[in-house]
Amino acid sequence: MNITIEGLSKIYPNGNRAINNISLEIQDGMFGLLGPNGAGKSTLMRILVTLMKPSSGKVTIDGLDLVKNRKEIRKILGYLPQDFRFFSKLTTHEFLDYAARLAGMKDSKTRASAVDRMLEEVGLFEARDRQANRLSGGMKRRLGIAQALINNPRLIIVDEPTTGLDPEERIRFRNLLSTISTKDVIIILSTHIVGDISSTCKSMALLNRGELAYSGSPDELVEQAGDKVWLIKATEAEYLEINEKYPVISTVPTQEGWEIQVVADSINGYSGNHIDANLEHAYVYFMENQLNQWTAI
Amino acid sequence: MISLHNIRSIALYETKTLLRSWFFRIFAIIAMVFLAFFNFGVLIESNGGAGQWELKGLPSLIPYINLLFLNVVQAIIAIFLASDFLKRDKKLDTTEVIYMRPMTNGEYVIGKTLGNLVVFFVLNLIILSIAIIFNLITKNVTVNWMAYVYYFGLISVPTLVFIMGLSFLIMSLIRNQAVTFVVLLGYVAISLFYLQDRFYYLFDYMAFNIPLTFSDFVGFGNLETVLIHRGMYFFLGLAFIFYTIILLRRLPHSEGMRYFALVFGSVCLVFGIYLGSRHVGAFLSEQRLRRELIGLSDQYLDVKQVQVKDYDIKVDHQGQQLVCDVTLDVTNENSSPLEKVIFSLNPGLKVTRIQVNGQDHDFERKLNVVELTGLKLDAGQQASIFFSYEGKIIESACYLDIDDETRIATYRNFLYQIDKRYAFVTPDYILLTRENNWYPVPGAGMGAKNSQWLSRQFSNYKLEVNTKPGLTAISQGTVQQDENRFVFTSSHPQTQVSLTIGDYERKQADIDGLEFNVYVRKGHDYFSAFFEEIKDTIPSVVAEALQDFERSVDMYYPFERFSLVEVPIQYYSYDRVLSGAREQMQPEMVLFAEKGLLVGDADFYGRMEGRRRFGPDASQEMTPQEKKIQVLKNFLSSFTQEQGRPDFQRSQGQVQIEEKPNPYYIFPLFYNYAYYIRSDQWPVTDRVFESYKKQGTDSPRMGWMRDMQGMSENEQGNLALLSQSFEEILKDPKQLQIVDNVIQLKGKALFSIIKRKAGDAEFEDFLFNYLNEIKFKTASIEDFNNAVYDRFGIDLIPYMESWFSSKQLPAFLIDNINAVNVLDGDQLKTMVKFKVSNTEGVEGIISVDFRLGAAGGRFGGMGGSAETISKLIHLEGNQTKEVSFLLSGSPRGASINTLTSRNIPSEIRLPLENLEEDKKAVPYEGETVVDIPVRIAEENEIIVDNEDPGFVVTTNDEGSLLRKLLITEEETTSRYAGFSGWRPPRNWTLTANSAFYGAYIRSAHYISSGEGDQKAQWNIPLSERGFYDVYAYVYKDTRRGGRRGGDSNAGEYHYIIHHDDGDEDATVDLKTAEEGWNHLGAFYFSSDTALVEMTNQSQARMVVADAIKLIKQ
Repeated sequence: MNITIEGLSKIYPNGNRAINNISLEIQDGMFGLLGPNGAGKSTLMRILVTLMKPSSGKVTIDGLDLVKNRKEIRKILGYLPQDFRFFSKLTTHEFLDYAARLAGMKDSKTRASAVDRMLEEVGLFEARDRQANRLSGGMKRRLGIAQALINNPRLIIVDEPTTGLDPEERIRFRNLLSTISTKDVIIILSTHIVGDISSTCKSMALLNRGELAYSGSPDELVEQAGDKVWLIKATEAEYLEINEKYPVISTVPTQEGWEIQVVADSINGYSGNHIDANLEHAYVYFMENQLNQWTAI
Repeated sequence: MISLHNIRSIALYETKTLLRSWFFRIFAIIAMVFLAFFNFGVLIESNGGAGQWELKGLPSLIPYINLLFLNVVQAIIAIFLASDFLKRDKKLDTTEVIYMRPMTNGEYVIGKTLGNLVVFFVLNLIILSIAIIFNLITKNVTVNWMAYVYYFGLISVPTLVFIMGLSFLIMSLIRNQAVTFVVLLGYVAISLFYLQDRFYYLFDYMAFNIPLTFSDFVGFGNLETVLIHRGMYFFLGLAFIFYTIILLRRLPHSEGMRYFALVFGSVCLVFGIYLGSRHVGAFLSEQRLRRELIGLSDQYLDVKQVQVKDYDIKVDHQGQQLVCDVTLDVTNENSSPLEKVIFSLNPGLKVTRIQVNGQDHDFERKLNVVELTGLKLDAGQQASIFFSYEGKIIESACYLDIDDETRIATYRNFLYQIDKRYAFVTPDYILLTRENNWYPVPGAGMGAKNSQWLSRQFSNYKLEVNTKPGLTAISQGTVQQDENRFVFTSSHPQTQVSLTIGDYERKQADIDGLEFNVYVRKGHDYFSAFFEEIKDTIPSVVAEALQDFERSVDMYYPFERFSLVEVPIQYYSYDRVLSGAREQMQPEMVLFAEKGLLVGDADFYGRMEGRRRFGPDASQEMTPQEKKIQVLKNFLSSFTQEQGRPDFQRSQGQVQIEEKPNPYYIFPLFYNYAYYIRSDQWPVTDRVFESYKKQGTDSPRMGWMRDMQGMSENEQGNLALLSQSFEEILKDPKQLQIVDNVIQLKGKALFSIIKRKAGDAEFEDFLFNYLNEIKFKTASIEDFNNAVYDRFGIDLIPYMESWFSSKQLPAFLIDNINAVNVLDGDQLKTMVKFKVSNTEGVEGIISVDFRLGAAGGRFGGMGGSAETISKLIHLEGNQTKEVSFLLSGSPRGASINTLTSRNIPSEIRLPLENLEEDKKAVPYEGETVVDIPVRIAEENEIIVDNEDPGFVVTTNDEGSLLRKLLITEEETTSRYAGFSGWRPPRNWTLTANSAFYGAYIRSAHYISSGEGDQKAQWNIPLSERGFYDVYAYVYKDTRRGGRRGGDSNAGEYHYIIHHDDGDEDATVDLKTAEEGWNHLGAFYFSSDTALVEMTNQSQARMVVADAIKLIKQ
């Protein structure tokens, strides 16, 4: 299973260029899509799930052209949008059954068993007769991923799946995706939460202003920020200066003043030391230094 | 390839979602509750617990009405639900998980549509189940199961498909639910309240106006029209649905589906438009054909006709075709040779062969006209003409004298629409009358100028019918049946012959030598069980009713048999200007609508129950048998009243009452099919005789009806005669409603010429005997004139021309009406005296009618109802008479009717009960010509009436722009509005009543009471200054109370007199005021005009402004 994106662009009727000339290769497993608001992540995903037509470029999924073979591609898709709400009046079970039906599961026994199994997997079996729109936020996300997975898709696209989930649910959710990603499928995970990518994805892409800023593994991105992460012990007066000079990752008040994590080539004049970089540091460093574009995430 | 699995899945979950929507549930519950109550009300509880006969009489009407109601509401709800699905789909993130699934846009939209439809079908099923339950528990009603299927398919399905498709399409285009609602609800409102049946009910997508009544005889009488109309909406709906597939904002799954949707949608659209054009085209081509037929007829205006002495008609009923052989023995009875011999025959019947005197003869066929090429007949020459023809009846060729607007006007009963049919030829049923021209008739049919079609000939008929086994043929004359062959032979000449064939059963009785038959469709005998207890009494009740009618028309029933034949409800006929005979009336028989649905008194069980609960018998000791006899009498009276149920309509706040002619009024059997007085110069002459003879059956017009309408139809007739001659009115389609009244008024005027010289009784005897002489023969007006001349020495003909074309009318002033009891010998009598002047130069008559309790006359016996004595007073132009009538017994009331005149109101009513005895009065009866005319005012009196130029009123110009736009001038009612005491108008409104002041026109302006902002002004011209006594003419309403209810005539009027010393508010207390002139005071006026005002300030409910009188001191 692989996805090849070549020179993909999307220009909206109002002239807004949402994505611009993106080329990308995605292989089996989890693939992270990172980028600030307006970077074009959702547009790219909506193109990949056949909801939107690209203006130019080409996408092939397992050799199938996304535009010409929309029918075949939809059969292997699973999709969980970002702000997903349910049709009112349907129960959890009915909603999943509806999704299963539309995914092509015709045999009622097979479908019933698949629905029940999926409800078990996402921990919603007990809530099978509850109206879907009355579930808690976490349960709704689980039901969302359940409908995306109900037909055993080979390409799963999830947009901000862990937003609003408590830590326990986030971990469970990530683990679920990781488990699925071992089965000859591609999971494209778009998220603001860098940690979700670092803990699950073997490869990733960074989008900014509709353009592909980085493509590779998270580790390679982290390497680029290897000695650039500093922990500065700063006084109250320095705190404000540092905030203005460097991209600040975190600030912790101490008895003496502040412990501030920043990404920078050097911290001239301040007292601090190197610490190990992670993907979050790397993302900030990359955005600040490679693209000369710092945008708060 | 379309995936049914996907469609089913989408439909299933759409259905689930909608069924769980509270909006739908609330609507469904309201619909169910409303229709349950409705069914309970109309089928079980109404009409004294017997149910509404108009609905339960024909079982198919139950699902029809239920779905009609449901359909209007569900069509609106469907708009909300249908557009809601696209709105729901606009919540992108929710829909995206559906849109990215492997399904085509077509599957999605079709699935959604089916889901929506299923929801409504479930509701329809529930509503129909409710209807079925009520249908089953309603007494004496069967269930027409198929009707439930038919109406569901014809009413609900096309409406829902269309409105859903339209909603989807508009929502897809506009993509705004609120705007879509406004557009679609506007469309619903326009189609319901404005378009209605306009444009041949083309826009009636809810099937609210298209006739859909299903007869047990023939099913839908207009099946093709219905299928085309409903098919049009179904296919347009499909087209919109498939276009929605293309417009759906989802990347297509299959290009094939898009092309399919485009092609299929376009095919449906084109087919829908085609059906629509066929629907309209059918009407237009009918109209075109009618114009051609009329034009063709007029080409033969001057062609004289042959007289048919004998008809020998052989009819073979072959499915939906007639195969006929007809032999006519004809004579040229004209005084000159006939250069052309023409016959008319329905254009749907194809003539295959014609023989003259046994030899094949060439003929030329133009539409309905068959011209026998080269055939000439000398005066008196006879010929035998044989026609062989076959085919169907084209009904649009019937009633060519009826305008298109009248023909396409809705035929409604209760709440349902019935299609109008004039003939039936189906494999199981046939109904043909002369109007269908199903056998050759001399002449060219009806034209715009050529009215020969309505002239009558008396011929001998022999009719032989071959039909399907098991069917019964019904026609005039004696019948001989040999299996499925029927031969009818008439024993005397007839004007026409009809043919009815169907699955009939016959009930027969001999009543005083009259063969009395009732033919009903098998299974439709709902009455025998009801009348079982009184079946031995029925003949005497029928005989008595017949005698009563004979007495009232002063004629004997002319035939040996009388048949009541049940016919499909769709059978329809029109009232005509030149003939009083509706086609429901045929010689010897009445074609009576299925189950008597159009006649309330045919609901025997309902009437019985009504009498038991609420009727006059409720508190009386009557046996059930007596009650049933009364029910039967009431039913029989349905045939003896000329007017049917009045039709109430509101227009600009005024109630309009249109009295619909009763199609089952049997007078034509007495007159039209037995006598014919012909005039080529004045074709209306026969109607004048007819009208004169039937006036004895006129029921006195109820005063409240006239008061509500503002003017009686006679008065409207008089108004019309002021500007149009009799001749012009007869040709004016706008005057159709009053033409009968005009004919009757003119008839009275004509015959009064004879009566004046001959005397009432002598003339009646003469007419009775004369008609007996010409029974079953044609006589001319010249024949009649000769007979009158021979007997009375009066020549009517010279008078006829001005009678027909003059526009002058007499005008009467009537004064000093005095009614007292006087002692005449030892008998107390009632004497009524008055003085009357005819102020115009043309002669005129007035009729004084006294209502009595006794009956008398040629036919003897006692009538059950009040009798009327009519006295005519003739006045030459500018003549004045003092007249006095002396009456035995105790007349209950009198009315002075000015007939054809300028007077409004035309009738002055006088109560004659509890009169005082005038011991000084000298009993006298007679009339004296006097010199001094009636004077409306004394020499020293100056009167300004509300009809005079000096009278003006303010106008309340309020009212919405919408009202002004919607209500056009054409819709304004007659000059004199009705008198609505309970809801007086907000503007000064002119109304006429004999209690008001006036010379020829007794009228006043009235208005709802208010704060004094509305004024009436009298500007009274004065020739000299001085002190004047001022009087106001006050109308006292004896029926209604003040504004806050309570005492009648509570309240006051304010008159403001503008005089030299200032303004005087003269208040008249209505409780103490005199009816008539009331003194307001004496005032000095120095200018040449005195001004008196009246405002609408009053505690009374209304204020009436009539006349002001000034008398110089």
